[in-house]
Amino acid sequence: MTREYLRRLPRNWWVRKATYFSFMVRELTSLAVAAYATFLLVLVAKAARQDSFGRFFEALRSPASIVLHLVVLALVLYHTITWIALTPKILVVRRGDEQVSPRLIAASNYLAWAAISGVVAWLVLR
Amino acid sequence: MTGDRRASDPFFWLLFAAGGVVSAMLMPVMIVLTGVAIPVGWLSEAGLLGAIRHPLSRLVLFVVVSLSLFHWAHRFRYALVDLGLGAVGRRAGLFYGLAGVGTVVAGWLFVRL
Repeated sequence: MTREYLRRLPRNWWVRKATYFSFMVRELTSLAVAAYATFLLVLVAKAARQDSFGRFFEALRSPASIVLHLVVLALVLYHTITWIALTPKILVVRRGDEQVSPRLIAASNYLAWAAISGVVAWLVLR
Repeated sequence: MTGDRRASDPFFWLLFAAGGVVSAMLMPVMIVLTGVAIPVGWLSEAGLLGAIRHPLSRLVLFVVVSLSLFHWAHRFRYALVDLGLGAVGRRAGLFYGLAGVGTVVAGWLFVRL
């Protein structure tokens, strides 16, 4: 009787190649997404109490807050860029034998991202 | 993971996908607003409060928070399996439950505002 040979995957499989490592970083950006979502919850909780919001607002102007935000921003940007880069794989528009250029699909999504960001910034900052 | 497929998997995958889109599109600008615009002085305390309190923002923030948490739950769960921590990652209830709790808290907070 023969059995299938199952090779055990080494635990450090993802550090061995740059592409594997990038993949793992990409997946772990979900932690940054969750972290900022939690921050948003705290922000709204603080906004409900008029008296103490001033202190929270001041804390947002501290160097520690800026540094933390920038770290989270870098990770979330990596999430955004890799996510939109995958859109051509999901949105396959065929015309007969031909396909709409994947670059066009990705570019349209990046443009949509820029437009949405611009609208949100304008709405909040005006 | 092939042994433990459930009927609920597509549902949580859908939440992961929606959360991925929403966080990809909206989070970067929000981070710049709370992390840079405030210290630099482009956004005042009154401006920030006004922006949060608007009914449309409350809805958008709720959607962003809830879907982002479900995005994390699904993605991080499978990442743990890939990292060799499948014993933790396979406990679906732990992750989706946490996201669910966050969603309920968000709902309560946003209604109370």
